[in-house]
Amino acid sequence: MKTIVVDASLLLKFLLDDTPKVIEYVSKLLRDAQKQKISLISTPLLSLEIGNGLRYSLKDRQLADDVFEKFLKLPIDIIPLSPAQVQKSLRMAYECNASVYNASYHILAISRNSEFATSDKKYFDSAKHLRKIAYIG
Amino acid sequence: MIGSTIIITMSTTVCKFSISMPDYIYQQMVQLLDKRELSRFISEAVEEKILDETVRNTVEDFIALRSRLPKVGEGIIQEAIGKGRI
Repeated sequence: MKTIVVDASLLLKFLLDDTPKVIEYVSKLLRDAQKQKISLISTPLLSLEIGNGLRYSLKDRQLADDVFEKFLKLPIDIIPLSPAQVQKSLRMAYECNASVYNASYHILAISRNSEFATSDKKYFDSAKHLRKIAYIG
Repeated sequence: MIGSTIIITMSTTVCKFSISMPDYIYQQMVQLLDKRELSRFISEAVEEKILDETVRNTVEDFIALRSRLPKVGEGIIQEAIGKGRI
C-alpha cells in the first residue's frame, strides 16, 4: 500500500486557502486513506503545528476548537521518530538550511520509502534534491 | 426462508437481541461457519462496518469544514505554523 507523509502546511492550506490543486489533492488523499487504498502517516509534530496554525490564523476560538477536534479524528497514523531519525533530521536541516521541524517530516518519508507531501514551497525548494518529496500548491 | 431469526450473545456486554436477514445470506453463513461461531462472526462484521462509517464521516466532516473557514492565504499559514518558536 502506498504511504504518504503529510505536514501541517498541506492540511492548513487545504482548510484556509483556495488553491484548487490542494483542495483536490487533499480531498482525494483523505478519501483514499479512509478506503484504505493508501496509508497516511506523520510525525507527532503534526498536531502541534496544526494547533499553532489554527491558534494564529483564526480569531474564532470555538471554530478553531471544532476544526482541531475534527482534524484529530482523521485517519492519519502518528509515528514517533527513532533517535537515529531525530539525529538525521538535524543533519538534514543543516544541509538544507531548513528547520529541524520540516526535516523531521521528510526523514520519516525517506525512512518509510514513501513520499512527503508538503505545501511549504521554501522547504521543498531547499530539500527537493533529497527526493521523496512533492510540492502541492 | 426470508428473515431467519438468530440470537446474538456478546460475552463482553451480555447483550442479546434478534435480527433478521435475507435467507441467502443466512444460508451462506451457516455453510461457512459452525453455528457456535455465528455471534462472533456477525459482531466482527458489524464492528468493521461501524468503524468504516465512523472514519468516513470524520473525513467528510473535515472536508466540509472548508466552507466555514476564512481564507487567509499561504503566507499567513506558514507564519502561523511557526509563530512563537525561538
